[in-house]
Amino acid sequence: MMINAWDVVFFFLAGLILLSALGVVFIRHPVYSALSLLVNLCVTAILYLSLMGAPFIAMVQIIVYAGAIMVFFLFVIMLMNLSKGEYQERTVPWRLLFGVGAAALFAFQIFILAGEWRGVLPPGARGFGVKALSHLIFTRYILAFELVSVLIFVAALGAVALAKKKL
Amino acid sequence: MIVAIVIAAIKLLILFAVLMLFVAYGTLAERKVSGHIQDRLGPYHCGPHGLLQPLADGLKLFFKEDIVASESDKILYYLAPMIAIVPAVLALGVIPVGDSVTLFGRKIGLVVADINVALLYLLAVSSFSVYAIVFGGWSSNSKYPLLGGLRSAAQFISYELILGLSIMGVIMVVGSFSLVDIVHYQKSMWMVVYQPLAFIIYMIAATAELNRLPFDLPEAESELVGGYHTEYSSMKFAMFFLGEYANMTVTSAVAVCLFLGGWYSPLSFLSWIPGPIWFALKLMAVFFFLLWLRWTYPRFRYDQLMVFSWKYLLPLALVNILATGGVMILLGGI
Repeated sequence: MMINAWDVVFFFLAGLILLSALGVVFIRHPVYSALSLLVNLCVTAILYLSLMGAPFIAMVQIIVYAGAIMVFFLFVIMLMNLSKGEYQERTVPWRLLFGVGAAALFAFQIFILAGEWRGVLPPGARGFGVKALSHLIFTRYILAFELVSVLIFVAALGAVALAKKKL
Repeated sequence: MIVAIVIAAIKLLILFAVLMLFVAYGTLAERKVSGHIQDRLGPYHCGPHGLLQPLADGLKLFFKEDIVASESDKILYYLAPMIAIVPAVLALGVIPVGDSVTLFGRKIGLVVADINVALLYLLAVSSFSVYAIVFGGWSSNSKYPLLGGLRSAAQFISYELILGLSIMGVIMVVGSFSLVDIVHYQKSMWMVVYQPLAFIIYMIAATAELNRLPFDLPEAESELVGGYHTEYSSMKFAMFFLGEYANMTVTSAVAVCLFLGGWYSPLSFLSWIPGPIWFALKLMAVFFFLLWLRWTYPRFRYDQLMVFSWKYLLPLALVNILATGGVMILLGGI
C-alpha cells in the first residue's frame, strides 16, 4: 500500500474530525462541547476543500453551520446559562450507552466502507463547482430538493406554533 | 513556486500594514468626524491637528493594567479578543485593490488570491467575527456582557442572512463569485446602477454586522455599561477595537468592490490616476459614510431591530433577487 501526500492530509484531518467529535460527546461543559462541534465543522469544511476539491460546499458548510447554526446553539446555551453542577448530575450512564451504540454503528460503517474510501476521491471528481451542483439540484434532484424545502418550512411553522401558544 | 509564495507573502505584509494604518487613523477619523458633527474640534493636542493621537492611544493602552475578572472562564476570556481581529485579516487575502503591475518583468496581480469562491469565502470568514463578541460576553461571567453577547448572537444571525441575500443580486448579474471578475464587470458602469436596492440593503446589513450605531445594541452603553467588553481592559480591550475598525475597513473595501467599481476611475479622463489610489479614495468615502451614520442616527430598540430585519429587509432582499432574475430572463441573459 503506497502512502501519498493526500493520504497523510486525509488521515490528519480525519483524526482531527474524530477527536473533536469525541470532544462534543465527552466534554461536560456545554460551551466547550459546542466549541468542539465548531472545530469539527470547520475541519470538515477543510476536508471538503482540500481533498474533495469542492470549495463551494466547504464555504457553504462554514456559512450555514459555523456562521448560523452554531451561533443559535451558543445562544440557547448562554440563555439557559447553566451553572456548575446542573449539567453534571446524572444517574443512568445514558452518555456511555449512546457512545457505545454510536461506536458500534461507526464500526459497522467502517466495515462496509473498508477499502473503498479511495474510490470516493477519483481524480475526475475534483473541482466539483457551483454550476454542476446547481444543475444537478434543479434537474435530477428537483423533487427531493423541493421536498426538503417544504420539510424545513413545516419545521419552522411547527416551531412557531409550539413557541406561541396564542396565535 | 517559491517566488510565487514570496510574492504572496510580501503582498500580505503590505496589505496588513495598510490595514493597520487604516485602523489607527480610523479611530482618529471617528473622533474628528464626531467632533465636527457636534461642532467641536476633536483631538487636537498630540501633534498638528491631533495627528499623533492614535500613537498616544496605543501607548496608553499598552501601559494600562491588565485586569482579568477572577471568576471569568479563562480560556475563552483570552481567546475572544484574539478572534476579534482574525476575520478581517483573513478577508484581506481575496480583496483586489488594483488590476496588475509589472515589476522586474513579472506581471503581478494586485490581489493575494483570486479564488473562484471569493465572495463566499468573505461571508464564511466574516461569520466568525460574532464568536469574539459571544465568547467575550459569556466568559466574563457578568450580567451586562452576557446580555451584550446574547443580543449580538441574535442580531448577527438575522443580518448575516440579509447580507448574503443582498450580495446574491450582484452574483446573478456577473455570474461569478470571484471579486476580480465582479470588478472587471464594472469597467464601464458601476454595479450600484444595476443593483441600487441591493446596495442599500448591503450597507444596512453591513452596519448591523459591524455593531455600529444605529445597530450597536451589543454594546449599548446607556443600557449595558459597555456590553460584551465591560470586563476587558488594556490590550485585550484594544484588540476588540482593533477588530472593529479592521472589520469596518474590510467591509468598506468589499462594498467598493461589489458596488462602486473597485479600482476603476469613475470618469474616463481621470483614468491616469492609478487604480489602488481610486480604491483607497472610494474606501475612505464608504468609511466616512459609516462614521457619518453613527453620529447622525439614534439607536434602534431591540424589537425594532428584529422587526426591521425579518419583516422589511428580508422580503425586500428576496424581491430584489426575483426582480433581478426576471429582468435577466426578459433580456435573454440566460
